[in-house]
Amino acid sequence: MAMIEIVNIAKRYHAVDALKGISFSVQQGTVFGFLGPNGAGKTTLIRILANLIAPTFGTFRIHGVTRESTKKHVGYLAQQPGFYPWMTGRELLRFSGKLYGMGAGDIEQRIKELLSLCGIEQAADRRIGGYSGGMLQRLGIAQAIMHRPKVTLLDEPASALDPVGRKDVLTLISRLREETTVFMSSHILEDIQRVCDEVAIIADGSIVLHEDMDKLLKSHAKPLVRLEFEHSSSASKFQVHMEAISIRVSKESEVQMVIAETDFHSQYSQIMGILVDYNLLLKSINKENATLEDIFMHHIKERNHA
Amino acid sequence: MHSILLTLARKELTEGFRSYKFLIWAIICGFFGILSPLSAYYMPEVLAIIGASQNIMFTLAEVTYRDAVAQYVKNFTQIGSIIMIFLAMGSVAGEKSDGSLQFLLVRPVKLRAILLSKIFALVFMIILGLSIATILTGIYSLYLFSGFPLVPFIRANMLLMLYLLVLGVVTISLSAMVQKPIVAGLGSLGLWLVFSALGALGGIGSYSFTKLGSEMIHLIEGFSISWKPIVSSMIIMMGSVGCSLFVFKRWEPSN
Amino acid sequence: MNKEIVLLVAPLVVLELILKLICLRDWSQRERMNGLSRTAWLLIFLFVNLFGPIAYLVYGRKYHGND
Repeated sequence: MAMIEIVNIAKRYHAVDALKGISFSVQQGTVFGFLGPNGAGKTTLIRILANLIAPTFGTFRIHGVTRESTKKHVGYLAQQPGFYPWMTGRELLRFSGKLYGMGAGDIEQRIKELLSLCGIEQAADRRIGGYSGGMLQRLGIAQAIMHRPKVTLLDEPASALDPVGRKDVLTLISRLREETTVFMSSHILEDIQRVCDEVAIIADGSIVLHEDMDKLLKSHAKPLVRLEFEHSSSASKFQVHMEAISIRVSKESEVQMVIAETDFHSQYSQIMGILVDYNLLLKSINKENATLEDIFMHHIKERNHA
Repeated sequence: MHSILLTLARKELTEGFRSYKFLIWAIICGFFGILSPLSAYYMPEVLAIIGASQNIMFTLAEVTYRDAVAQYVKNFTQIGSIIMIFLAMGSVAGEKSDGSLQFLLVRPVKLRAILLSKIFALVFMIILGLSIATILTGIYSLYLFSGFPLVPFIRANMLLMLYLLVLGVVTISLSAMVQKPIVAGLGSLGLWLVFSALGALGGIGSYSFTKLGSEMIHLIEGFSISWKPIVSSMIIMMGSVGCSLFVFKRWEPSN
Repeated sequence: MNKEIVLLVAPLVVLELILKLICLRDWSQRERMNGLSRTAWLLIFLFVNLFGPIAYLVYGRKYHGND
């Protein structure tokens, strides 16, 4: 079942098209990654889905409803969230629950659950003004899912954090899939690759790619073999000999050469022969798959050339 | 809707206490409450000291509660008004710039409920402060002067409450229409000066809400009061809230 | 007569002291302040009566200023 349906949404700011007619849908239970460089329109789309701004054109449906009625099904965490610094974490969650019309007993029960899920029990009764960045972000996720929304929108949830904080928040996000559909944006490919099941890439206000994460990585995989040499002289000799038998080599560094896996297999004995005959000492030899970064770069470049 | 308004109002009250806003206002009102009768009472002595050093003789009529009331009205309608604007100017614009307004806007909360809850907290703050000021001025005046019309003074404070309420509501409304607190503050200050200038003129000026100050004195002296500034106060408040909702509805977070 | 003045003015002094104490307590727990430096704010609320503490409490002690 489609939890989020986006139909031809466009947003124009002072004659600049931030979004140029975007359509796609997100299935229930997915952790959906919305990837793109800064300024591509990620925040604009998320704010539209959160009902903070109105699209210039197009509509969207969340859990089958539109406009104001979507609010109760949506949880939202802004890129730079502002929570009342004079409240405690517990008070903020309680306040949020009341605004969604939850019952008092349910609110306390849910707060308990969320404090432990997000690992902020210790900070619960401290003023938010004194929270660290990582704590704020975890509280941010807690307030977003307080009312058990069908859809949770997270705008760059981990981007501003240090590596440890990022890992914690991403682990937390991947745990959310049991109770809500997650729609998260990021410009950090690694984060999306780590937690998302499905990904859409946005550039200049248009979707350039939308695919299942596994399929995407497989279909774009151009398996490569990386050879690392002990000495740079061996590496350059290797390059010369490979070109002599017309195998394309790309030089990654002074001591690292990369060739296509197909070439490696078809000319295996010849390559090995050269290595042995000329005494080219290898440090390591690895097979590698394409990363989301390669795919991202590929698509962005393609657009820029077009 | 009803319970959401209650939740928001409680949030505004807690915020008012924790951010020291209510405390500041209460202490200022306490100052005015004590200072008004005290400065009126000792004015002749102060003038006598100044006079002696300058070799001038001031001949003054005996000071009465009237001087205290005049001081009280002056304090609240001048410095008090500026402080009121200062305290109210960040109420919505401050939440816009620190991002906490978005917290409310993604939730099923009506804009008018947000504005109403802020006005509710404003009413609470004004009543709190004026009660303190009334009690202190009452005690000091009863002690210092022969005779003080306590009941008319309390009734006159209702007019002062309306005066401050208009100023606060206009400031909050402006605060919802602009992006920065300082803009709301300056705008409100400008409007206040315009109304004060209008009030100094005759004719249409008698409708200015700033006329409520002189109506206070009329009321204490037992004269009948004009309904013009009271009616116009209501219209100004409703008008500014209306404009504010109209503009606020179109607000979108930027950056 | 003089004693009377002192008694009548005392509450004003007490109010001012309460304000200054609140500022001092807040000031000692806060690292960053809005607009001016820490020392500047201390001098302002200690030596400018009434308006110094008000300015500090309303403007200077913002949690996350938009600076």
